[in-house]
Amino acid sequence: MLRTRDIFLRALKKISLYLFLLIAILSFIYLSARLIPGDPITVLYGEISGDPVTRSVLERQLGLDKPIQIHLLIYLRNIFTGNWGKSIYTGESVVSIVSRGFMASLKLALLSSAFVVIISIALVYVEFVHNIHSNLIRISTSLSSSIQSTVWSIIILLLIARTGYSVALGSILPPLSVLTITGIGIFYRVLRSAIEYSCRQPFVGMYMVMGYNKRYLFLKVLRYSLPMILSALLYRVGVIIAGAVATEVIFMYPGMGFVFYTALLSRDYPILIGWGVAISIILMLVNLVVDIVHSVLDPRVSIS
Amino acid sequence: MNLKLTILLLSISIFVILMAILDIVVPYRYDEVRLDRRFLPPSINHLFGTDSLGRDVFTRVLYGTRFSLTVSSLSLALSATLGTLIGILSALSKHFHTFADLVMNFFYIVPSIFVATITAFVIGFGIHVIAIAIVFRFLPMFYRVTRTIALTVSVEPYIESVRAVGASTLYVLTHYIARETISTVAILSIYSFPETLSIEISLNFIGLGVQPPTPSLGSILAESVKYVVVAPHNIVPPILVVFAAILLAEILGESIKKHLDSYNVDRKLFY
Repeated sequence: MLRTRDIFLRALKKISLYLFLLIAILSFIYLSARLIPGDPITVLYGEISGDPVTRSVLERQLGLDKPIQIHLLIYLRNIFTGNWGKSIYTGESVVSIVSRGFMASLKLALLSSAFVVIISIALVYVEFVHNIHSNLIRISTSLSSSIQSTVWSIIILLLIARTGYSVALGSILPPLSVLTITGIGIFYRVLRSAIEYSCRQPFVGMYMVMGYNKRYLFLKVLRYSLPMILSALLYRVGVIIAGAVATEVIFMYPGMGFVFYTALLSRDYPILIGWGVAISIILMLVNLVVDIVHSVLDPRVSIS
Repeated sequence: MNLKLTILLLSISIFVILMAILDIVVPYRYDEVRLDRRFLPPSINHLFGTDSLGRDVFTRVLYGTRFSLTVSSLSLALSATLGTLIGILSALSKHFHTFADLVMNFFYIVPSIFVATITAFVIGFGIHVIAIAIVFRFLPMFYRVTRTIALTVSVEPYIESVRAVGASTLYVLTHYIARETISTVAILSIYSFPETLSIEISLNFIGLGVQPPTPSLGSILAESVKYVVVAPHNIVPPILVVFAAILLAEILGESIKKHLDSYNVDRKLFY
């Protein structure tokens, strides 16, 4: 009972801290967006009507005739009520563009993370349980992590273009394979070091003395290192949603990275700012979830 | 110092000298456009062939390597220095820690590519955009690691005894805590080097970094991807350079770590 209350209080404290941080970040984004050369009505809300009467009406509606701290409050209210402006070019609302990109990126991130986790655990399992310390695993994982995703994308694009075969599920398979390949190299290392660290704990020795077989031991060790693995994984999902820009651009995958890229090319400021806001909120939520999951899975964290 | 590390450091210094005198050594200029010599295959005159504007790819890759490596290592050094300073200060003072933690969380959450974009719109495109993106990405990491180390070291018994003898905070800071943190920070920065390179490449790839004709590894890659069907030989050199740089950074990090570890063991044996 005490533990549940403890976790709850901790989560509440974290959430209030993050809310404060969110407001700070939104203010930062607003103020820096005001620094962009151009009219704030266009930059922030995507209104391009040239008629001075319309503009002055809009100015009053958006509160731009009031001092800057009032703008900031109005902007924050707009963000929380879902009025993120509209695209300068297509006139579509920023929320719908960003959420479409988000769903596509989420699909990519979840699928590639699932593959990465399954393959890495299989590799470590083979090494740990069957005692196969193959150089092949070592070399291929370090190869996959030492070529970064941009270069991997180019290599795979080149392969597809040269062979000329049509690829099944062509829209998602190439970026998915790139993110999986680059992910395995890094995640395999994290997983391996976490497992190695857990193997040095005293409880493993006790289980060995008790005569459990290695397969059972592996499960126990995996459970022990779950908090570390899970936070690495969640962080990875956040990073993919935010940062797979080059990969998505090369394969023209319509995720968050591509939204960012097209907005950047066409100087579509409302979308760019909405993108920044959305990514900040997502990364913040990921951080919050990592914290909470960590303290749920590892009770020692919340006690200390 | 073992042989492997010596050879590595020696070859790196030779490489740095070569990069410094690049203007004298190289026969072509990186922006020398020769439209009659587009997409030439590799030959003696053009080691890696020529690109879409007839520029020598070998020269461009050399200049691009110099540019990319300089930008990433300088910004990495900047973020390591700043992060170490802030980390140690926040380990010392509780009030500063509350403030620094908030700022660093802010740095951690706001995507660095977004800050880079805003900077590019407000100030203009250029090297500073890449530098800001790298600093934004790495400052929180260095801050957290340094703070943790400084906190762990400062409760060690030997620090307590040094304090009891009468050493000031500044003395403890410069003689003990700094020494412990610097080795970790050095290794960490070498290991993060591939990621700075990848930030640099992806920023230049989407056109946020330097503007043409200045070559960087990312912009050369982005240009050669467009012509990959016509001239596949253009894309190989930058990929090889990136690969070599990352591999070298990993080997260097490993051997420096080994070297410092042995140093630590020796010291502990002697005292």
